[in-house]
Amino acid sequence: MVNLFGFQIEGLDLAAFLATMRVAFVAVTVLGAAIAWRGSNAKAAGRIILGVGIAGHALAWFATVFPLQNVYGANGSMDRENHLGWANVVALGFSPLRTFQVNHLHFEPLWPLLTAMAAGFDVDRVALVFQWAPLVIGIALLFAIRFAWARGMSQTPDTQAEAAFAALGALLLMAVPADFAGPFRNPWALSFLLKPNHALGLVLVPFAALAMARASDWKSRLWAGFVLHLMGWAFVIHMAFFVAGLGVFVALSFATRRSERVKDLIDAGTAIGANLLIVSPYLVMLVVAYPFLSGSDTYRLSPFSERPLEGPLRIGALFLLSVFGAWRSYKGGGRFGRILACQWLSAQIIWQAFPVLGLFGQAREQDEVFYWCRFWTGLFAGVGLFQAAQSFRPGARVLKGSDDARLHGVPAAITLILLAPSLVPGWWDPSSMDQYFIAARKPIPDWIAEPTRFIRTSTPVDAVFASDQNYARWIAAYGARRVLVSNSLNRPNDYRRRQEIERALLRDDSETLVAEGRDRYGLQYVLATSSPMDPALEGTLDLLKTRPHLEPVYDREFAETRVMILRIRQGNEEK
Amino acid sequence: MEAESLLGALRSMLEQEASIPALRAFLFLFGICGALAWFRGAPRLALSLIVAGGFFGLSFWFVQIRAPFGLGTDAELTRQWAQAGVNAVGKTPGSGFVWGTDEEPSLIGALATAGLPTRFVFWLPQTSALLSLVVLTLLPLMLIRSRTAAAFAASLAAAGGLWPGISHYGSLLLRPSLLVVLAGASGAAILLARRSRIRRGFNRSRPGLAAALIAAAALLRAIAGDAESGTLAPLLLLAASIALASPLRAFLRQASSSQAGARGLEAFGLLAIFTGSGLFWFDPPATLKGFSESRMSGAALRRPLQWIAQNVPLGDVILASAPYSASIAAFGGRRVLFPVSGDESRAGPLKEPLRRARLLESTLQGRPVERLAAAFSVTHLFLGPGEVTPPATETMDAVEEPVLRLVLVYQDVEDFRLFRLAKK
Repeated sequence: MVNLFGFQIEGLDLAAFLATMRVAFVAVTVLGAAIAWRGSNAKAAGRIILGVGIAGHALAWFATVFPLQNVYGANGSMDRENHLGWANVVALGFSPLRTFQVNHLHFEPLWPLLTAMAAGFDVDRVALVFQWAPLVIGIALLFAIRFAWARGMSQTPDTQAEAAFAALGALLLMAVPADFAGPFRNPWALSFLLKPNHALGLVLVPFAALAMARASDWKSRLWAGFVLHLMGWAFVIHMAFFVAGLGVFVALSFATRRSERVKDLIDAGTAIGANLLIVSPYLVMLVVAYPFLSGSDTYRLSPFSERPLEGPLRIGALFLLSVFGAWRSYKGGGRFGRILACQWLSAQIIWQAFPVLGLFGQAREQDEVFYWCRFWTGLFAGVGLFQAAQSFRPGARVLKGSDDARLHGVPAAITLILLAPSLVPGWWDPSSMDQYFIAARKPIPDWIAEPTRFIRTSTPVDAVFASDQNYARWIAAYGARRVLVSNSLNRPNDYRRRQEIERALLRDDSETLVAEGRDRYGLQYVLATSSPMDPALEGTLDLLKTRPHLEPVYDREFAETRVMILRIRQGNEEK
Repeated sequence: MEAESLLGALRSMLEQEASIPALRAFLFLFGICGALAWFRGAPRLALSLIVAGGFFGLSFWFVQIRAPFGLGTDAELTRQWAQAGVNAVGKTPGSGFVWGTDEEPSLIGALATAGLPTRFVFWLPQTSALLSLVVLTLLPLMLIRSRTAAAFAASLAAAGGLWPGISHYGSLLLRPSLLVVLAGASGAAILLARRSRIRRGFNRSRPGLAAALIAAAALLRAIAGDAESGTLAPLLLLAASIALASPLRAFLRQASSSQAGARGLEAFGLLAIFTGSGLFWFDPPATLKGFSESRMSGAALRRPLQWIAQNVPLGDVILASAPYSASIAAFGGRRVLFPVSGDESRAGPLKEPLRRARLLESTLQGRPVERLAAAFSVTHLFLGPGEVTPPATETMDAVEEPVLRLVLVYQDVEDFRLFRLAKK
């Protein structure tokens, strides 16, 4: 058993390995606190905290991915397998605007394009990119928040340390130990390890806030709109949340009768307008490819559910600290601080709207809103605790404004120690808290691994498969080929036609449909299994072999199921 | 009988998923009322409400436990329950529940030896967890002189401490004897706090002490890992919470311009801490190994074991396959010849393993060797569903040494069977 780093992991003592990673992080944190205590100015304290954040994220990432023989989330997460499939087909040279369902318009095209580029358009490197992306994006988030905070907030000697605590909190206070038992599990793992594409949206948030805070003329407003639109390409839901936060920002500005309220309205309105204008092609793609406006029973929510409590309260005292941090930022952090604090408030408001949305079957993307809430709660909890520790320090008032170590190093040390039990890398035990970790430790079942290996190595890269729709995402994720329809993705608009073609291929009842499949969708292969298929197979697998338009190229019986791959003959090809 | 069926009905209601949001809503109500009471200047009432909420939340889960917690799912507790069953009978003092082994000392075993009825002993994990809430509430009240400060610290401790998502209740269910350690440490702290020099020293070094407790807790948690938070780490964090209660109040007073404002902040703080605690979000079916199993009554197995308890002589040893060993000892009160499945190494090397194996083999062949049965005091063979009934001895070839015959003395519809080893 070899992991993606190339190390043998068969004899790995998992419990000891994970404990070592956690202990190493606690040691780093305590060491950081000790160094800060001994006398650091604000800048040095900031660097120490940032170092703890980087070490923490890296250790938690390493603890999770090192013992895996597959990419995190493979073999267990449909989302992750979809993402792998998307990236694979772009790495093969197909358009990033299409998903692995042939000719299907994409609704998240940036991520597959970025991963394919990072892999050098080499499909064999895509898994490695997926392996490293969470580390890179987590660290990028730390630097992004620190960069924007240090430049956007009112400049005081504390700004550097505050910026570092904001970054640390946003990354490593996203989750609490009991989260894994809740409906949304560990937000850190789900955001950074499973969906780094969504985390990429978080990386852009501080830049969007900074651009917005600095907007004062048409040029800078348009620039803010441009940055905002980048968020949309990364993860459109984050863009929508951010826009909602700007709405709260303007509303509060008017409600509190701020002198710059009209300017706030013009700046936010222009940026949002520019953003919508630029991003409109994508929004059209989204509406066309992802029909999200119709309600569904899946998204109904009982008005008596515990959701309203879950978002803010599950994180306990950290929520309280985030209230304090957001309040302080709103009052004294200038325009940037007000924008960030309003994002925090808006996140809570959106979360509390779910019971109402649930009545109409529109409580969609609850997990994303939950993670968005946690991102802001963590960010302000980190800052809030530091500010609390700082103002409570004896003699703080006397020292205020100076760069005395007692005002920065000591509160930074206290904050680090107080946060230590709550920071993710100190308690993260994926072997008992993470189903995706457990799944990715196991080998991919042979009835998926072997046929997809055959597909990857023995079929042309432009081959399109009609198949059991349950199996289709594995063809894309592990076989790196496109499919006609997969039930793991939303349905293309011509879904019915595709389904008719699929049935025709399996039944031998329409040469016209088979020809259409070949010519319009580039179909070259059919994959069928002896398990109940979607669409259902009429007759036996052996009957498929007798179809005049099909030629078997792979047929293997596994303990779980039988898998058969058949080549579709060209129109003029004789049997 | 009526109480039993009422309890059964209550259990089946609470076991449903839909009852969990109702639990949380009730707990939230307790939290709100506690916070309101604090805001209105009634700290003792606030504390009482939070403690009541804690009791309510824990009882919600504990009442669902039917079998002794951890029996068959946690090796250490399984041994302790088995030992307690044998100790309760009192026929073989000092002897382990497996023939030829020594008793492993434990609180559970000691209570059973002391004559506490087994149904109370079986409730020890739940009782320990509930009592820990009492101890943690009383500790600040005894330690801190100012009534309000003591009530605040006690409320913090009862609410689950300052660190969210961490609680000791699950781990205390698994290691109930740690309650003794907790009570002992609390008693020592109370005694020490009576000395004014130590009290002054504590006040001077409070931040350092709290930092040490927190760092130690973080380290212990890091070492232990696992889904549950462990016992010691959460308790250290609760101790740190108690130590930090006064500085926290001072900070909140400093942050507010009025007394009412400070009380409001304190009340809000207590509410946030209570609703973010591991107690509020305690979800043992998802986090605690063995909880789901402990919800099952195992009534089918209890019937033959009850028969054993009533009909098999006290000092006798039962021959059974390893999966039944612990249950026979725990509920039947009789010793067994083989240890619990997969626990051989923990119990140490078993004396005379070959002779034991030979007795089992000969018994399963329908011709238990008399000499071995007498040596091990084995008088009965217990078989569960799916285990093959030994052939009648009449059909067997003649053997070299005296053997016993098997007489069926118990059989039920579930196919549990008990044979007496009788002389031919």
